Amino acid sequence: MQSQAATPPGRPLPVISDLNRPMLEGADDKLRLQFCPQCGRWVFYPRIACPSCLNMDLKWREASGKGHVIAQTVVHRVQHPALAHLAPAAMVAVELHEGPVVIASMAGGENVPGIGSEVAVVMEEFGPGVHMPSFQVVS
Amino acid sequence: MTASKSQGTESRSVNRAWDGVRIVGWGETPYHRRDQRSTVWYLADAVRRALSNAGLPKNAVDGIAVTSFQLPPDNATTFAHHLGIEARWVMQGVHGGASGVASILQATRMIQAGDADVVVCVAGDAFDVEGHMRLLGRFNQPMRDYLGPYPYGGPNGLFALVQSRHMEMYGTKREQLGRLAVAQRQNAQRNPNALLRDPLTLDDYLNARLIAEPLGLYDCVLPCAGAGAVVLAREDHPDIDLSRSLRILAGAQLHNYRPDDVVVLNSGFEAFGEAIFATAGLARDEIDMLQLYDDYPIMALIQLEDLGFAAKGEGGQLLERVDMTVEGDLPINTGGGQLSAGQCGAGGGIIGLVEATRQLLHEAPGRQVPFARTALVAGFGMVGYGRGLSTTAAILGR
Repeated sequence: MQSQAATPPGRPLPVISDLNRPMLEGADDKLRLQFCPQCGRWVFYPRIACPSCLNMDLKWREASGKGHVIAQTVVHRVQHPALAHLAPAAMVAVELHEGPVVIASMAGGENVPGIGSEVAVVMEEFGPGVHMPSFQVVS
Repeated sequence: MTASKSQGTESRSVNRAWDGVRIVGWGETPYHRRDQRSTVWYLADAVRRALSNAGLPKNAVDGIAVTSFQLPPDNATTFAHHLGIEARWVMQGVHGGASGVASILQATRMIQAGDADVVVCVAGDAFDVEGHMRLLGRFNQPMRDYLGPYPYGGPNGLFALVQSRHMEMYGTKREQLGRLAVAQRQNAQRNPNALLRDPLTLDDYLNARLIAEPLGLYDCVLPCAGAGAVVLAREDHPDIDLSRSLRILAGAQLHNYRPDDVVVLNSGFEAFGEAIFATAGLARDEIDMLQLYDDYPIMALIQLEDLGFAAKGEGGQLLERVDMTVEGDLPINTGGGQLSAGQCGAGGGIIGLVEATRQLLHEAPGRQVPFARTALVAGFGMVGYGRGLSTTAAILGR
């Protein structure tokens, strides 16, 4: 999905590295997260080592991308000038079915779902070849 | 507050884990809305004022703890060099708003072990709103890479998430949180160094423009320039006046409490709250004032709950029934706190410690808590992915 915010100049972007490339470079709507084959847990944000068992050989897996909203806000004062045009911006914290909590925008708009709402990931292009998760309500 | 306060804290039957060290001085620079001087100027001025208050010469100092977001490319060691301080121990606080209390707790261990005699703990920044925003872009890697690309609003947005969850789960109301903001403003009106001293009513609080829902303008701090410092010394140091000194009765720090939690309503304070009161030998109603870490009223409320002043989820009701002003039954942030005095960057982690020290030394003219003997100081800092990572608290007594 194309972003509502296709790369305004100066938009802050993540530093892409081997640590996060599989998550950020996918152009489909799949959320890829790290998984620890040694202890069986999912990991977000991307880590060098498993925060449960310190296994340094984390694997990337496709996650369901689904979860429920545990917290929400509408941001009126955005922190970065290059993002100011996005205000008011709906942000949610989502507990994924796999366990990790992801904080991200609601795709395309200021309508923020209530706590407990079921949502699913869409990947939005934040910059050339850089995709980050956003959420939309599952209807 | 009970009659026992008139006896002081020397007769308590307790663990002596923190004995042998005294807090002997404090210093606070003027707070400025815009940095008029460099970060090092503010830090140096706080050190100079604290040593003057302690009655100790610079050459007595052999340990220093410094916390400042804007100190790089300098650091605690080069700052000590700048001031001509030959030190046996140097620490750089990396716990943001938890650094002030962390500094005195670690300094105490060094002094107890004989590895320092006199330690200055200082924190501050030459900040303003723009500087605060610039800092966000390089605060830490997960914030830069996984929050910074979103219009998440910085810490305001993150703590709005926390407040939304607390309101949903426990029915906490903005009217309750506003009582803390209003009480702190009343306290600030008695502090000439506070930057926000205009009257503030609950209606003003509720009707202020929204920053990140449900947070409004008066839920958020004003970034500013300033610094604070305290001086600790070995109890048997020949040049200190024991009759004008404070004890650390208990203290604890905990970082990354429950590492997997994100956007949490429970903090590290719940893990050590009982222990610090037991170590101090004091009940909660024997604490004469609280200096809480008030980057947002909701975070002060979570500290009240996790430290056991209210059951989990009942902090809002506590705020409804107590008077948090200087003469109240539960004075909180008696100089106005960060919400009304201003947040001078990392100095937000020492403002409560400086205020508690002044109050317990009975050196807070115009806002002195009557007969103050004991204070609890809490620090909460180093925002990571979706939460503050560091929690610290100390109980001080005269």
